[in-house]
Amino acid sequence: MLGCFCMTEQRTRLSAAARLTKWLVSGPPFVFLLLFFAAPALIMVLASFRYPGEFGGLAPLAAADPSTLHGLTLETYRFFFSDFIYTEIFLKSFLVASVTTLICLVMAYPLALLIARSPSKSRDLMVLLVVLPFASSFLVRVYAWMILLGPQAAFSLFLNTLLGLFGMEPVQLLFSSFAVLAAMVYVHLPFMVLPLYTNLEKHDPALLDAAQDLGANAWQRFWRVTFPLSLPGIFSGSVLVFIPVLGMFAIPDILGGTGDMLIGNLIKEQFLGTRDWPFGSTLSIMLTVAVLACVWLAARLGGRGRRYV
Amino acid sequence: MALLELRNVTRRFGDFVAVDNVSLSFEAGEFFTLLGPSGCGKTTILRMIAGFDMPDSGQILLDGKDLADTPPEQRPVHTVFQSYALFPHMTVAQNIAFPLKMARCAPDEIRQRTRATLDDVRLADKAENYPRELSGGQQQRVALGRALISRPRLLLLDEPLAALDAKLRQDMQLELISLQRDVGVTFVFVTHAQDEALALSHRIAVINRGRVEQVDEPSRLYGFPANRFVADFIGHINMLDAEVVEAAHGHSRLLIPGLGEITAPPLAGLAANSKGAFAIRPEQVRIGLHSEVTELKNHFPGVVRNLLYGGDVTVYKVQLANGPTMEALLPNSAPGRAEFFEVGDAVSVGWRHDAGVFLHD
Amino acid sequence: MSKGAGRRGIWLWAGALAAYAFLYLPLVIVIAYSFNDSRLNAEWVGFTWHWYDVLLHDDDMLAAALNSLFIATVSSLAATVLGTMAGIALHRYNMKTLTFMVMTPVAMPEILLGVSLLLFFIQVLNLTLGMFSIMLAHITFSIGFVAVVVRTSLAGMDESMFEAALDLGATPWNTFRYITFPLILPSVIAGGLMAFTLSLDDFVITFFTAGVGVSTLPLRIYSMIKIAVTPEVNAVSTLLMLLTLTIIVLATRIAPNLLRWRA
Repeated sequence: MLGCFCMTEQRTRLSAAARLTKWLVSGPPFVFLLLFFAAPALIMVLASFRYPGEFGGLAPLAAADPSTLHGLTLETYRFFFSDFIYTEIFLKSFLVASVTTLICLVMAYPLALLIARSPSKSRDLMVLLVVLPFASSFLVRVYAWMILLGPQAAFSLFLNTLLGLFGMEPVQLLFSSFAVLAAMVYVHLPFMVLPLYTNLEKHDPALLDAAQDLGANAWQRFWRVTFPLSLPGIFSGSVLVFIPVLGMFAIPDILGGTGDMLIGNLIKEQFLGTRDWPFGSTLSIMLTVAVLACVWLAARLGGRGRRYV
Repeated sequence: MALLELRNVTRRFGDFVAVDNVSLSFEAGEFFTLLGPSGCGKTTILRMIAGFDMPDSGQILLDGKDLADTPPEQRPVHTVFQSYALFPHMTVAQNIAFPLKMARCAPDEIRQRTRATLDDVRLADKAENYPRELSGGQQQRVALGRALISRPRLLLLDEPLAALDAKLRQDMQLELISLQRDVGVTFVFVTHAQDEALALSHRIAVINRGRVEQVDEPSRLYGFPANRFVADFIGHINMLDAEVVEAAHGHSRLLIPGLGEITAPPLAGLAANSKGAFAIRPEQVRIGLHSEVTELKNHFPGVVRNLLYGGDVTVYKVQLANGPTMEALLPNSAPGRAEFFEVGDAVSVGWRHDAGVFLHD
Repeated sequence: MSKGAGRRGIWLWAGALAAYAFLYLPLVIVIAYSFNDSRLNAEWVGFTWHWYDVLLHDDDMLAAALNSLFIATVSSLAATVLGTMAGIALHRYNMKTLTFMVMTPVAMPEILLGVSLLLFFIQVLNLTLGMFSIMLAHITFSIGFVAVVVRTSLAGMDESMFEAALDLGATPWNTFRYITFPLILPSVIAGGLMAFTLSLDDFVITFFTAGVGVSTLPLRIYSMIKIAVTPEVNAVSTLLMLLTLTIIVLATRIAPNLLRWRA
């Protein structure tokens, strides 16, 4: 397209003019992202090895007055491991992410299956309907749950009346782990539906017919044919849910109680509250490592699922 | 001087040699075909002529001038792609006019020449349609018109008939022949279908694993293949391992294991005991009852093992006593089952003393 | 559909319908209560336009809205240009570093990008947080989105078309001008529209890069939620939903492939 070259799997040989075009096209976004994505990331890695400044922020690398804190240190990492509560918050975040992913999977699967099996004209509409709630701001979707779970809302009243019948204490749904989980699932459900439906759409219907022909009942057909073939889609969807949930802070912040702090809240506290930027950076780096580990794991496991196809 | 010349052209992809020291020359006005199996390098050669790839070594010369520094948009060579590559957002007329527009021709000239080309490819009534509204054959004619309108020196065609069904293919083959004759442009045609190559070309280069096996006109390629590969690739052939007994004036004698000695066409300068293969086309092998083939120099008894009825001909697989199996072709000149043999029949096969070729290994 | 689908079909439909209801119920409630003549988001009292009236007289809210629109316009334009270039480069050339830098901001938790940019702006660039920093942040995460949309549309095209253009005498620039650009234009526009909504709706990254002086609509909504919830929030949420809804539907009309997800 741009320039003279040979599209082979193995090598590209570009003329001088084509090389220039390549840099003209890829240059601007490359430079921009280098500046506003790569550089900040590196700065953050560096920041995790520094001392906190006197009034917040970072302490200087070199100081005129040798008595003030300066230079590089492993202090923040030591600090992280010194109190178990930090690790506990990480573990809790993993737990929330896992549970959210699982619930999303269970809720999304029937929907994705239905979309995949519908005639293609209605399929686009159905997908659009799944995506449309996305049109509202993330905050609005979280706020909606504030209303739904409010003490005077129908659902809470109903639940509490029910509990009252059994002689149990009324429950506060809002500002609880339940609220956080509900909103997490709600916000991320489309991310599970789309990859799943994309995968299921590609399944050959003849496979199910063949299975039925050979004596499999409905459950067996699902469990032994559809489900294994859908594993790559399940993995894609899971990654797309798990990772954002891991780093989420807004939902616990708005809907959670005091005990529902997750990694994201902790990071936010460090940067905007206590202004201990080195520690905040350390936490961010650890979150990044956790995310990368998940992606790597998913790639390994998802690849195994591909053996079935 | 040849119109286009490839001199010792080599192209490697890592360790894989796609084009291996190929030298070819293309004359003005001829229909030249690059024929070979998939992956043999013929498309790579085409792309290097078009300018989408550059040889690692060797030269490509047009009218004697090296094309090395000329990008595709400046070469007077146009390509008809396998997928036709029509621009979906432009009408047929706009597609065809595209090269003239790129060459900054005057609007009047563009209009006039587009109309002429539309007439040439018989699509004048489809000028304002979009490619997606056309059939496969029509799309291909648009691709042809588009490539020919700016009167290139050379037209490259990359398996353009591959996507068409059998009947349409045949029609398009005839169209291509007349188009090339009328327009006079040199066609370089790439295909893996040997029957197509035989039907369309003035000359054919058979290519295998990046090397040119033989360059010749179709009938000579068919009748006098240079080696086992060419013999086997083009048409059907019986290939029997053979050894030279003597190569005298006017004829040669070959020893075929399991059959004995046969008389074959004269061989130039080959020593006795040279090993190779005796190749003979099924239509040159007569099949009949014993009495019917005794007049032929080479005849052997056998049993019919299998047969393939083809409507116009029947191919018999005959196992010769103690020997190899050979294919013999019998035209079904009479309708119905006259002159038919069945599986298990005792028959004899035979061929003339000057039929077949010996392929030296 | 396989035979004997009748019984299983019921379960499937039930599950799917439940999922759809789950997706829409909360939003329906927000919209409904925006017309509720009551200070509390509790039970329905009566229909009123009152909260919308309050909204239109809320100067802070209007300022935030203006900011949001301005930021969204500028950042989506820049992201569209840069993202289109990135999408073309990603499709055409095998550049691992660029691929990594384009795709990661989309895949990583937003908080990481927000926090690292905060660090970068203050510590390295000594930049006062405000409109400009927000715009830079929004461009960063939108580039990846536009790039994927453009790249997907290019991947679906017959590659030999571009070679054909060159072959027939078009220079690389003319190939882009007459062939590539008209064909990717729908995706570019759709990508730009999506970038616009992403910027309009963004909360997390804006939260960290906005600083004190500037407010956007989501930030305003957030402070209202945290401090005192009034149905005015429902009203502004409904309007925001309406706007992004219109834009998304428009985008999918222009480029139907937007919904064909390629993970």
